[in-house]
Amino acid sequence: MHVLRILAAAGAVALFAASPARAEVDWRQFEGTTLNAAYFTANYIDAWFRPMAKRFESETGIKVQMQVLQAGQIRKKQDIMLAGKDSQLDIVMLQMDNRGGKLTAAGHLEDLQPYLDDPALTPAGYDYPGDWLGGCLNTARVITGQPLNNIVWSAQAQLLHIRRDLFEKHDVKVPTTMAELEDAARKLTLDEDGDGKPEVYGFLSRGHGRLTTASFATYLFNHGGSWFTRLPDGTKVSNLDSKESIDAFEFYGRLIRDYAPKSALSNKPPQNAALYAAGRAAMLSALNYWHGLADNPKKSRIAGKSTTILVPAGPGGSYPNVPTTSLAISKYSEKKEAAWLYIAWMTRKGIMLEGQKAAVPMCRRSSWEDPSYEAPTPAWGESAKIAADYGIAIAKPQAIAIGQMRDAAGEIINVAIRDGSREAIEAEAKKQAAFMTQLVAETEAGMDFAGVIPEFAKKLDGDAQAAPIRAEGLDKLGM
Amino acid sequence: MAVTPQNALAPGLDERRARGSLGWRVLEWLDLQMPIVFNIPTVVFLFGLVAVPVSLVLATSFTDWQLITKPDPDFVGFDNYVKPWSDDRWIGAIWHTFAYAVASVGGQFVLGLATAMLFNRSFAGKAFYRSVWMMPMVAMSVAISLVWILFFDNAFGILNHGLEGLGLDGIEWITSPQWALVSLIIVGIWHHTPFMTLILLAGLQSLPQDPFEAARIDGASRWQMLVHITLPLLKTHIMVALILRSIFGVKEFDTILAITEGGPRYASETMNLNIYFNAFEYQYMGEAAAKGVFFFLFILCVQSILVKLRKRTWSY
Repeated sequence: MHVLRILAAAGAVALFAASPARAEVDWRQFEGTTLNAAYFTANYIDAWFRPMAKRFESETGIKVQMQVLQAGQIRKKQDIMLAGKDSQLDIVMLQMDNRGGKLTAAGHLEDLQPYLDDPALTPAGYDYPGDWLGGCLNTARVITGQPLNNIVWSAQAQLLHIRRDLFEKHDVKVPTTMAELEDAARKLTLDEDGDGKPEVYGFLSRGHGRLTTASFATYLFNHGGSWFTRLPDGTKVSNLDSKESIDAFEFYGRLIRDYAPKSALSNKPPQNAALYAAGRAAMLSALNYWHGLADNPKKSRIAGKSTTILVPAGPGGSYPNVPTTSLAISKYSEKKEAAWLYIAWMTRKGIMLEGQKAAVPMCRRSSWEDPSYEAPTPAWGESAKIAADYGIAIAKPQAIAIGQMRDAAGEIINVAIRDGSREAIEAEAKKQAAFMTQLVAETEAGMDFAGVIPEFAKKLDGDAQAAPIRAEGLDKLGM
Repeated sequence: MAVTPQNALAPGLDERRARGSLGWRVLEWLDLQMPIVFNIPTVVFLFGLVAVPVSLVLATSFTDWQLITKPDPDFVGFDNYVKPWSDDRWIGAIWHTFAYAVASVGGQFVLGLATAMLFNRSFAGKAFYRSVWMMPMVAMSVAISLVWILFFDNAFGILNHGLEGLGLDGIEWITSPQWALVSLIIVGIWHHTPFMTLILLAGLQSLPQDPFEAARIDGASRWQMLVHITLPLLKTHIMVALILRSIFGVKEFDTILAITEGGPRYASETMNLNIYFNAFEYQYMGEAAAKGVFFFLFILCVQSILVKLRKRTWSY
């Protein structure tokens, strides 16, 4: 009898182990399928997506045809295909803080929760959202009640790239506050031959039109400003004419005007990064992946001399800006399950770790904490991870009419850089804020468009702010 | 010699039976309607690629269609035709389009005429220099735009380097509202002058030599010969060049988008850039379609004026 009981128990265990809930995902269940994906041009395409697509095909038999275009072009292509309910588009790459709200409101993205819950399609140890960093999760939903319609994977962050060697040589305090940032920019604007033209500019950041919002956002929020605010009755209005926002415009405009080359007004991010890599700037406010260019001895004159820290805190605190990137499935795809299998495969622990090792900052906590992972510099590792954990996606004024909102904010920044007087900035901010508020009323009526919902937001303290500087051993400079 | 009638049947064909068949009747109809038959492909082509899109644009212009957020449009009457006229940005875009077209085509004409007259003379290496001069015409717009962005760079550009070398202050070429449109006009003149040169040179080479010889005998100066003989004889070529370049000048898009994107502060935004932003950045398809209709009428007006002028020049 005892033996029978043991046999029965063993049988039950065997049956339980063989039940569907515990079964491994059959990765070859959609063998022979071809998926169409529309992706942005970025460093991660060659570093991670292309090699992984080959591996994915060999492991699953699913071919992924990637169409890679410059971000502005691929967004338009995606919009037109989605608006036309084109079944040829399966995988959509997007930034939720950019068009996420618009595509969600229009219902163009598939709800991924049923796929995530399906053990035949999602591996048991996938661990979403448990293994995802808080800053990334903050960016995944932008409308109240929004379904899970994207898996956020990239934790690119707007950080401050600094020339470690120049800070050390001139014994300048590495900034943790906005006042220290301006002081460092002043001291590191170096005119060594005395011809009135600096050989090295103290500060470099975006100054070109609508693109400026992405790098300006951290300065705006750290000054206590914001793109929008809510009136007591719940109405969403522009906040760009508030005192704190004007302070931010004034500060950012002054930094570009006084400590950056005049090229900053026309430069796009690649040109700024090239100037920095050429050794013409002491600090560059830009996405963290540009470290790859600065540290490349074949393309840079400052290889081994640069690292990144968090953008300094301001009167309003410290809000690392994490314009994450997500993968989603078109509502009109006829291969949704295969498309999910691709997203689930690409965002598995081991595959994301491969990206992390290829210098693509990932959203999985385990990728950052894996013992085999080594950051390019200690401060880069610290600052990028803190940004991914504490950050929020504030790079754009999130709204349905996002293109016009970015243009409106870019107008104020242009006045702040080129004119710079408080009166001129206030006048322009007032004009553009009224325009933005009117646009919200016209385009978001009856819609609870919150912008990024920072449900996982954590307040960054001074200790965390200085952690990257300590990690690099630069905390004693300028004392 | 016996003449075979054209409608004779092939030998052995029973004419009475053949005439009653469907195939015969179709062939007979085709034979009688030959002009219509040959025009069918053209009509289908024009209908599909011109009439249908134009009709769709007209239909869209009366709706509030937004690409993503309002896929099911409502009819809004003439709202989209009225709204732009209270928008300073659109009014500015019309002015910029006009200013760009007049200034760039004017510059191209003066330089094009000068170079055409130069290349109409004989000198050593003329073929080589003429080929070099024509190069901008065959260069890709976006590629040359990227190079011009480097030239215009405020801090490191060759233009400001030259100005500062002369002891002058550098100019904020494409980053100041005052200079952005001027910068684009410079690029437009550089890019398209060779086309003007080509047409005017062809005209100069086709002119009769007698009037010039008579003028020389009468002791006319070079300036008098230019004003009183060359230009009047060249009028038809000048008008063709001006008509073509004006239409293309009004439509200029790629270099403007690549160099300034219509900025800063919309100071170099032309009508078609404004339409592009409305349609594909802001996704207001209805409003963009109405502006597209205005743009079409604008080009039609420019073309009509120039064609009228050309007819007047031909009646001398």
